[in-house]
Amino acid sequence: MNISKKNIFHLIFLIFINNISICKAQTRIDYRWLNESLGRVSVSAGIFFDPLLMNEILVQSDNFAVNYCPKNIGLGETNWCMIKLFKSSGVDKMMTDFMKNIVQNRSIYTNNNINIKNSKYDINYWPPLGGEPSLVAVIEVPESLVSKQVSLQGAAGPIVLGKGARYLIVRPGLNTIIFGTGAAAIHQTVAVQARARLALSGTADQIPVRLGRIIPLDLAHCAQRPPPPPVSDKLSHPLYWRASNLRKRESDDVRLKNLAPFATQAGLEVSVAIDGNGVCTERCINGLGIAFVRSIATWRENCSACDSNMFSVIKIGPNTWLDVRVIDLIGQMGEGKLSATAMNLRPSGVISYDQVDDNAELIANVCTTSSLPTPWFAPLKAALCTRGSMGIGFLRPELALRGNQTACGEAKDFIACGVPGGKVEVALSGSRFSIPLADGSYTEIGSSDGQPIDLTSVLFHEVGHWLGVPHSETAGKEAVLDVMSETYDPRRTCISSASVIMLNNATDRRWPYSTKSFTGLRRRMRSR
Amino acid sequence: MKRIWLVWLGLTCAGAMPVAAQHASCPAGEVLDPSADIDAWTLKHRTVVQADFKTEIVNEYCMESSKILSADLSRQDSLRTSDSDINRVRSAVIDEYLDSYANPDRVFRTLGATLRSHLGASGFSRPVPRARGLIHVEYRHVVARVQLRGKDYPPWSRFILLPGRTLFVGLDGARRICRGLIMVRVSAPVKVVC
Ligand SMILES: [Zn+2]
Repeated sequence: MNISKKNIFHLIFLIFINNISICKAQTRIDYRWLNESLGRVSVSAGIFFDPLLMNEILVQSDNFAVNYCPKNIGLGETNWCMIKLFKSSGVDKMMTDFMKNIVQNRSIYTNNNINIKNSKYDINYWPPLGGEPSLVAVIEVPESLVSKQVSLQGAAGPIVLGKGARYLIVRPGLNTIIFGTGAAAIHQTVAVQARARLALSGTADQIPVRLGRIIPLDLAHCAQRPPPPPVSDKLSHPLYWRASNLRKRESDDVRLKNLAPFATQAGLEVSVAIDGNGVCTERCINGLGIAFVRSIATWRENCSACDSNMFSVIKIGPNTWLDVRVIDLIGQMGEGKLSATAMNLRPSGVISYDQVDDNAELIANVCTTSSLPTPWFAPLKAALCTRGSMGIGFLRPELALRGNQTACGEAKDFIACGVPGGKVEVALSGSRFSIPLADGSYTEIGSSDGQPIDLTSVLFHEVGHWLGVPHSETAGKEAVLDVMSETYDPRRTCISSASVIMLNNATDRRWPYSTKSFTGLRRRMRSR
Repeated sequence: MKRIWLVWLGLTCAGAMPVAAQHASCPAGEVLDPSADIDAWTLKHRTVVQADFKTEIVNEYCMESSKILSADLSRQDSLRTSDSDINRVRSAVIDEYLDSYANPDRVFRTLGATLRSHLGASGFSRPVPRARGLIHVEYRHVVARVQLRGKDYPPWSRFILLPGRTLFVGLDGARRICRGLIMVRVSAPVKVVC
């Protein structure tokens, strides 16, 4: 991976955003042009999208536009491609390429080798390393249905997109698509992952992706409202650039030596402690696992600086989840096809997990194998074969379900509390926590008349702390508020680019702002 | 044309901060009393905090401090702190609490959560509904005096008030320029033009 070239890429990106380059006059496309062009291109190319994705599409197409012209720009040179593009004659072509890139699951950032010197900005992690494929899902419409009117089932009824759709760009998760109108309409419900492409068969009620699979949180990224682009001046705050600045000048050896221990930990074991009998049943404990795994998948997916084997084996209470690629590798091993060189996981933009406790064949394969030269094998064997503790790992967190009191204070003040040693206490009093189940439904724990709170968001926040991400407010009054805010906000359960940068910074143990070894409480002796 | 902007802050009265018992005394006496910090905040932000709200904050602060100082120290993970710690963070706690109370874009947490967080508790705070409304008054001219509910106030532009009907009178020098009955609501923001 050529880090330095990417740094330059990010530099130029920022420079455009901050309007300080020589191309000042033509650095930004007017959003109205993009918007109008999107309408034209969408119809002519037959690529329709969920209107709720409009903001996302506009922001991403703007990013795409900034890097669209693959030419060198030296200081003082004129980039004619840019001028043409930003004077609108090239916008439709650019938008067509942008939409096609999404449909083909290609990176929506084009390559470039632009050189700009002397920038004070240096942010490594926006967009994540390796280019950014789209966060949306693509659905291919069968030939037989192209001529029909296509609609998406929205909360308030069908949203009509029009006729002639060859591809639909939708939000990840469960989507119901309606072809035609009235009694003859075909309804298809599909579960799709972000960045996945799926061809519909044209028959009703298929669910091509197994629902039990744990995928990262839908819409986990905070929508960035145009006009502010994903990177703003606020990201020049030391919290956001310190570690990337450090890494820039050093070799991969030095960088690896300074990786925080969690970033290379292949197995994660979370123990669960519950106050009181019957508070959380077996089904509920399994649901806690799902909420955790979803949170972990989302952070992991955004951690480009983490080792790609990190947390590929997760044990929560009595249940074990594996990165689906590990399951695939074990399957190949059973068939005698696995080569020792291909056992480490590669970086991936989509991380998903399956629960394997009932997978007898996989368990037998693992337990009859003595060792494999990959970091995920030892924790996997411990989790599945000895059925005891993995007994390893720097990060060994514990989740405790409490009543009214946590170490932070009463439930009226805190819904959860991080305590030294990686423990998380959740206060059940005063809250009605929803917990996701494997079949896509929800169960609830806590008090039935309490404040409704999404437990996944609470765990998403706490897992962020395990990985060293501090509270958003640490960056001051102008901080971007997201799931890492110090107060739970149901409107902000997403992850901002600022937190993504902090996550990646926290993988460097020299970064001084990381949440320190879980010392949640400042310990002080009473002085009187 | 003078305008009065009425901005609502609360969601519902249910779950509002309980009004503390009459004059819960501060554990270490006046040294912990945050009255001066509240006054400093109001002066700095030119915002009137209704008297009973101020009393409520003082009582709440004292009650929470007292709870923290008398915590069961046998619990290994209890918040260990001293009155000097509580005094050290006092003005920052009051500033954050009132800043967030007056900012409807931000979620708002209890004074107890704010205090404990400043003392080092790394909790995920519970969002709580606000019980009061915020009136923002915009004048074109310099205003000498404002009357609300029959009481005179300095000519500041923001008021944190209990919901209900409030008679507003804005005076420009000696001349009355504006007058109206304002409904401080707990539903949607209301704009009053006078
Ligand atoms: Zn937190």
